[in-house]
Amino acid sequence: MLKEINSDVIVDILIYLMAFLVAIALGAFFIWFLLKINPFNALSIIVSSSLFTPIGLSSTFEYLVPLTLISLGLAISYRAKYWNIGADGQLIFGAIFAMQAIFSLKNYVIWPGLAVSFVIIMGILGGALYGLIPAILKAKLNVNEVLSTLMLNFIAIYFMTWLVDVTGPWKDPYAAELESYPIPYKFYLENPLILLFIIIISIFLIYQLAEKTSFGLYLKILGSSKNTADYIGLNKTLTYIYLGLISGALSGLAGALQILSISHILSSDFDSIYLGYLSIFSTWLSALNPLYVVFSSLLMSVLITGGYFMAGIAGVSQLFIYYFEGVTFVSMIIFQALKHKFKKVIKNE
Amino acid sequence: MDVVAGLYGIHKKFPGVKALDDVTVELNRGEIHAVLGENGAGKTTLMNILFGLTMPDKGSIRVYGKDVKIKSPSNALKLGIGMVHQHFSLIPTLNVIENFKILSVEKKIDENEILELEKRLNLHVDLNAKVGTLSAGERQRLEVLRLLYFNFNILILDEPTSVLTPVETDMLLKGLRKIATEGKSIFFISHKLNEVKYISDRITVLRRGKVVWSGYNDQARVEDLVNYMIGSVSISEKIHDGAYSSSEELLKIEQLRVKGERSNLALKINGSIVVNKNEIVGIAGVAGNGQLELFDAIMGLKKIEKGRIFFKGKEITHLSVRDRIKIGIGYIPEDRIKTGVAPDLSVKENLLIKLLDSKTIINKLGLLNERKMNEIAEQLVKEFDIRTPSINAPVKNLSGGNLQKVILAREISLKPDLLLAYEPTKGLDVGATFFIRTKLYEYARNTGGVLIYSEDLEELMQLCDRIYVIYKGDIVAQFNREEFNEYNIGKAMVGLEVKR
Repeated sequence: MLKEINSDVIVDILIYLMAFLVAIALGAFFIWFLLKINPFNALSIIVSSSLFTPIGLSSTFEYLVPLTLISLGLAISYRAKYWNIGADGQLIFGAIFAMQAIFSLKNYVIWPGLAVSFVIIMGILGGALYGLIPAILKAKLNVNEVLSTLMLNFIAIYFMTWLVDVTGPWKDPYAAELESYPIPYKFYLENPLILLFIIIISIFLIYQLAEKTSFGLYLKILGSSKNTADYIGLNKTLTYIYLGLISGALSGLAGALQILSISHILSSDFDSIYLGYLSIFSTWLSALNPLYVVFSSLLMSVLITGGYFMAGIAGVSQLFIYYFEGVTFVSMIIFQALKHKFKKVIKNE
Repeated sequence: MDVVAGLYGIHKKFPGVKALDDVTVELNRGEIHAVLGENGAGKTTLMNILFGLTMPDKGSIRVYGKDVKIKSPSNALKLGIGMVHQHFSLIPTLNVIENFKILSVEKKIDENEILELEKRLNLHVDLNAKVGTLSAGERQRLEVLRLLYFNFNILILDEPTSVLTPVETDMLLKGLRKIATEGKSIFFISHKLNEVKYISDRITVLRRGKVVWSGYNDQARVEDLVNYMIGSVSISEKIHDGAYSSSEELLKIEQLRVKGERSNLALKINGSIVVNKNEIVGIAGVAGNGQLELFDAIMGLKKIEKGRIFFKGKEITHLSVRDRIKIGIGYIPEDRIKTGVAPDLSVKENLLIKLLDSKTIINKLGLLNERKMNEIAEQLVKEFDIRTPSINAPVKNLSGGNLQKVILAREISLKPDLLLAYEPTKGLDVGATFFIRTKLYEYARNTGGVLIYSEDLEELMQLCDRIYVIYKGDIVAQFNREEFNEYNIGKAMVGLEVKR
């Protein structure tokens, strides 16, 4: 039996690798057959540009921060089979709360560090509150969280668009695009070490929560069987509410950091690459392990940045990245579904 | 006699169980043939084979004199065999007429024809009603009507009255009698003796997958049928040593009302149930008579409509599950893999899932004390002889017996004052069964009271100091150990009066 369990782990790893290889092969086939570009060439552009050029590296890091933070929250939610797909909305509300905090504070800043910390906390609060809505709906009224979080994303996006629209309250009249007044320079948070520190702390805390506390075990129990959760007297309402708050808080944190360190404005394009949806992918790829989240997020960031470079160098649309993401995701799901069949085959050998 | 369908020498094995062992039954034209037996006797498996839901390992099937292979329900339907299952196969969001239509695309549905059929058989259903709004009885009638409308000549009815009220049952049975006189042939599956006696022409009794008796209705008395069904009980391994002395009342249930799955009142106890300290009390009953609701209600998993539960003298009727665990109620639930354990978690985690809020395994920082957890788990694995490659192996990889040992170990390690055990040994091999029974007995004598339900009367008679019999949601009889008699208990289980 010991052998069985070891082979289980090996099969899991094999399945991930196979799914990924299939996806890469399909992606390579696509750019070779349809775009007439040497796939090895393309791959080397993606990797070298995103990791080994200063601009590329900083861009990769810019994606790595929000993807990691959001994926951490999703990882623990998905452990409990709480399918929050509303990270985009929670990110946006984090950004909106952060912006509001900045606008309210900007004339009273004495210690910028303190002000920025307050803005971050407000961002966390905004995301958490927005994540709380679907959690309460699920816990109290049994509303499917997939639908509610998805719809709340649209509400957040259009609310944000209204804020910066031509007639919106935050519209910068001097800007040609639909964007808000920029935030004052004293609110800029551009030191990558601080961002790195925030990521590391978040990973550490979420890992501790997921693996070293009763709460983490309760999440696994709830995800494994709802009947068992009832049987041991687990308070499901409270658990969903905690999950809504925590995953919302992390997305809100990501939203605040986007404002403070990257965009410095709120615009209708604020979340145009849908960091929340991309995080679903990196979460899945991490096998819901908070420690692996950073690697899967790094992979995603490399692909996104590399995609931009490829668009410039090889003339491939950056949309290719979305294609690649979709192919990988679907092949992973297929491989997971076929897992037990593979196990049978491997055991027979 | 004109045999329309016959199953000959049917064998069927499921992992670990011989479900059917050389079973032969025949169905004549215009006959109601009852297949009688306890739960798990193989009745449903046998009928599933005739309907193509299960393939036999050995044996042949003949329909209208021809050897046939029935590989799927669609084969069966083509041969004119229709089946009404224990669980309905109707679509609740459609209306009655639409539910007729889903069964056939070829035949046009004529409302008048249905109405005529309803009238002739006295089986009334409102054709325009949405199926979701119909009562259980109406749905059952609809299922039968639908099969008759499409001219199925061989009908299989699997426990058709299990969800019906007495009036509805009566209406259905009368309708069935009429259908039979018109020339349809019916297999009637049931464990309710009086219904079988009332309606059938012929009876076949199954026990543990074997035909123990087959003959015409008037050839057997009800008493004989009880004996055939339940069999004589032998207390093979002596566990009970007779010593029991305590009058400290642990659990008392009064006038309990609990709703079942279909929001009918599944449990309506008019008297009371008492469990004393150091006592093992059994609940005997045929499945589906409210025992599951009773156990779930004591644990707080089912809402109590009316009535009260006292534990150690305090009322606990509205306490949460968590609080009930805290004050000392343990539960070995019916569904091992989906309720008793969290299947994806390890053996260690499953041994501790009820301790996650306690100081024993949480340190001052609020983190789990990994060392302490390993210690407890290792010790329980040893003490309860749980065969697992490691305490970190996923619990779902364990065999049924070891899985049950994990649950038993966890519940007993919490030292509850009252331990509820629902079918604690169902499907387990002899070794594991004996181990678990012994543990339960020792536990009762040394620590707290045990309330146990088992379909296996032998198990209850082997272990218990007292047995309550549950029938249709109420306690209909009570036996002290010196009064234990499998025949009397069996009689009470099927709703017959017991003369002592």
